[in-house]
Formats: sequence, structure tokens, C-alpha cells
Amino acid sequence: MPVERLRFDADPMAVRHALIQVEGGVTLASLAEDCRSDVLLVLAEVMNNIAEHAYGGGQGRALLSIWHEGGALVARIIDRGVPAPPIPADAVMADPSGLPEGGFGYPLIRLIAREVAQSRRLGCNILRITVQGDISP
Amino acid sequence: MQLSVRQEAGVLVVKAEEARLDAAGVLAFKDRLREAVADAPRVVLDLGAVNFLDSSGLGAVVAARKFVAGGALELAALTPAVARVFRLTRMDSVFTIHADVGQAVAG
Repeated sequence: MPVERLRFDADPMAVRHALIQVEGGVTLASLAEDCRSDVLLVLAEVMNNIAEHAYGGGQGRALLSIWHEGGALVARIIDRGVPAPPIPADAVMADPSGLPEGGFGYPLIRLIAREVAQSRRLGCNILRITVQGDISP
Repeated sequence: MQLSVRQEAGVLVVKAEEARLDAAGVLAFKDRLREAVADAPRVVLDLGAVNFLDSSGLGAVVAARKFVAGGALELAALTPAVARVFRLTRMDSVFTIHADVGQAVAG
């Protein structure tokens, strides 16, 4: 199966349209429903982070690539923005009883992704996320 | 985010009429919802048309609850993907969630 690639502008509406495309694309088609939802959610979190921070709230582009690898779904996102802050390894979900309005993003990423790898090369942030998938044959 | 509003047995039912409650749409959602629920003693938010909710959308639903006196906002008709976000964040433990609006209004 080929790698699916999508360029998107770093703004929330472009992220929405990119996710709609991914949702209807071949890479996600073979995933179980729960896994598909998880992938779309974790992509939304990381892509909206890029939209918000990578270019200081200004304009910029990013590239999403997704593919299957060894029973998992791998997503790689590259942007040319400012150095990305590390996604904390120990991000835990806030206590729901406090009715938090934010702070869900990092814990959701850590909950859903089996692996999160961040690197920086040649002025680009490279984020690689792996989600364990139930890939139907 | 388009909202439709109706009264049913003394309950204000607010239905989100778009498929995505996400970072791109939360500001409009919060603004419209705040207007819609002004002074309502009890609100049921019908999310039956929403098939995608991200962390921003979740935050907006939490904010919406704070617009209602006494936090009397309940949810109805969560689609599987939306219910999953509430479950992963454990926010399903602090919201009253009904299978559908009918059950919400009857209660």
C-alpha cells in the first residue's frame, strides 16, 4: 500500500479538511472503527498543535504522511516552524471533577500513541507517531 | 456551528447541527451556545449529528456547561467516536449522558 501524503496549511480549518481527507482515504479504510477514531483524534491533536504554534500563529505549511507498518499505523508530520516543544512523556489526564476546559491534548496523544518520536533536522520539525492497529486482512 | 433550539417539557434542547466540533469551530459554537442557553434552568445538548470531537471540542462542551446555571447541562445521543473521547478523558464520569433526547427529556 502506498504512503498517503497530504500537505496542509497550518490553520485549524485546513487541519479539518486534511482530516476529512484522511478519514476517507485508503490508509484508514482497513482499520477497525475504534482504531480509526483514535488515529483521527491523535492526528487532530498534533496537527492543531502545529497550526497553533509552529509558525507563531502565522502562516505556514506542513506535510502529513501515513502508512501501515507491521500491524501499526504510522504518521509522520513535518513542518518548518520554530523548534517544537517536547510532548511530555508523563502527560496524565486532568482530574475530570475539576471540569477542565483544556489540557487534554498531550495526555490523549500519550494515551493513544504507542510511540511518539520528535526530531529536528535542517530547520524542520519531524514528528512520528505510531498507533497500534487492528488491521483487517 | 449551527445550533437549533427547542423547548420540550420544560427542557431546552440544543442540537448541534454540524458534523464536527473541532478546533476550527469551537469559538462560534461557544458564542452561539452561550446565547442560546441564557437563563435556561435545564439544557440538554443533542450531539447526535456530531461525528468528530477533538480536545478543543471537548473543552467547548465543558465551557458550555458553565454557561448554564447550576451546571445543569446534560448530553444526549453521543456517536461512538464522540463517546470515545469522553471515555478516554474520563469526562464521561462528570457529565450526565443520555442515549437520546427522548430519554433526557423524560428524566
